[in-house]
Amino acid sequence: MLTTTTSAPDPQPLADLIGRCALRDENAFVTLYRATSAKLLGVILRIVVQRHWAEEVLQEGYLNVWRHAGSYNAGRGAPMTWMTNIMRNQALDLLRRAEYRGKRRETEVEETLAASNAGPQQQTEMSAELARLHRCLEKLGEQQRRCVLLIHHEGYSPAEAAQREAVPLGTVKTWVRRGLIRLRECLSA
Amino acid sequence: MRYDDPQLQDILAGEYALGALRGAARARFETLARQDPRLHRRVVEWQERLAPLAEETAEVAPSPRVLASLRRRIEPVEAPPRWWNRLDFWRPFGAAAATLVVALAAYLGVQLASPPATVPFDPRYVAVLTDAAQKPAIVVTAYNNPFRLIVEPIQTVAVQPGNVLRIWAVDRASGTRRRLAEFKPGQAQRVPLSDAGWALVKGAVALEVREETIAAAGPSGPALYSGPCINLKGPKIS
Repeated sequence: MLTTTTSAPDPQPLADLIGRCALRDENAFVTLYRATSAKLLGVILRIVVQRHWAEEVLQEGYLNVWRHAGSYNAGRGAPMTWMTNIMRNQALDLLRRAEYRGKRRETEVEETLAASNAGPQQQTEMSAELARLHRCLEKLGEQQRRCVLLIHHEGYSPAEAAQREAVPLGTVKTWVRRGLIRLRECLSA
Repeated sequence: MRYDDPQLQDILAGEYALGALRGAARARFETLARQDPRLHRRVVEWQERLAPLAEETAEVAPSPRVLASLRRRIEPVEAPPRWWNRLDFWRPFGAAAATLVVALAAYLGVQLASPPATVPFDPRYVAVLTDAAQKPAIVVTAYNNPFRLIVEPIQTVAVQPGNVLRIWAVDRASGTRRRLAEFKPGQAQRVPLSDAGWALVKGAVALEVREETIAAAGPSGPALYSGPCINLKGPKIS
């Protein structure tokens, strides 16, 4: 099911497209969508799992991209980082909605989890940045690393991660905080 | 909690970027980050650190209807003069909005079925502004004695630093948009109106909200939120 993709697209053309979206250029919007939507849907799908919800999140997310294109600048991160963040926020919002709650966990969780623990066969295709991040993640305890990735990839709340790992919530919170400190130290070393 | 401690700021920014901050804590943090450029910077740094993880995720092509729907939704709202007379404008305000208005009226203590008592604290006009997905985002109620608006965001309404949110009144007769008021995101608030402002409300067929630069003179860009402006006294029927 999983196909590893190569590193992020060249940021400058994407930044230009976002700039043209700010000028209400619909063709630029469509080009931007075609260049980025498959990647972003992949990210959303891991969090919300169900396809029709994920596409709804994608649509709302792109609408936000269109509306807020004028406020995008390099200070907000690379174009993909900015758009990914918009989509992730939209997805996390959805997880709070009552009609969605409870429908999510029963399906496909094991499958997506397996995907997040992807094996070493992928290492050859990783970008240098991802390889470096993984080397730093390796320094965390196994459960700690799994919690960090569950929260990031699957949109688990710390409470859900604690339940899954059968540890107290406080333990997960401590793991996350210490994990983030170690990651930052390792990445800036 | 001391939010200005750099160590704590960085951990919170990391937790936010990771997705570990949820619910009310997440919303609170977003408000703080909007007001504090250093905190915002830390968030972006964390997002960049974690960004390579997205590489591990398989691409999934969305179905064509997503783009088709987006194309419809981003079309400019430049409309012919009497656009509110067109059926397709009102259709979204059909059943869902009607239910909403009735529920809202009940919430406000107004009985639409019987002649409303002329208590000075009754709202006179109400507009439920919906977003592009027709989800209610902001409730604007207008009161007299003294003339004022109560603006109540019911969705998170984000605004970029340096920009403001403005309410525009769409005139019933001419279809022109006139600036009515500014408001702040994130909280229910009272906005005093001048006599001229009250006249705009009375003459409005709809209200719209735009995010604009402070200097913007005219209505800029498409409305983020819009909805019909309803006179709660109802039409004059003898």
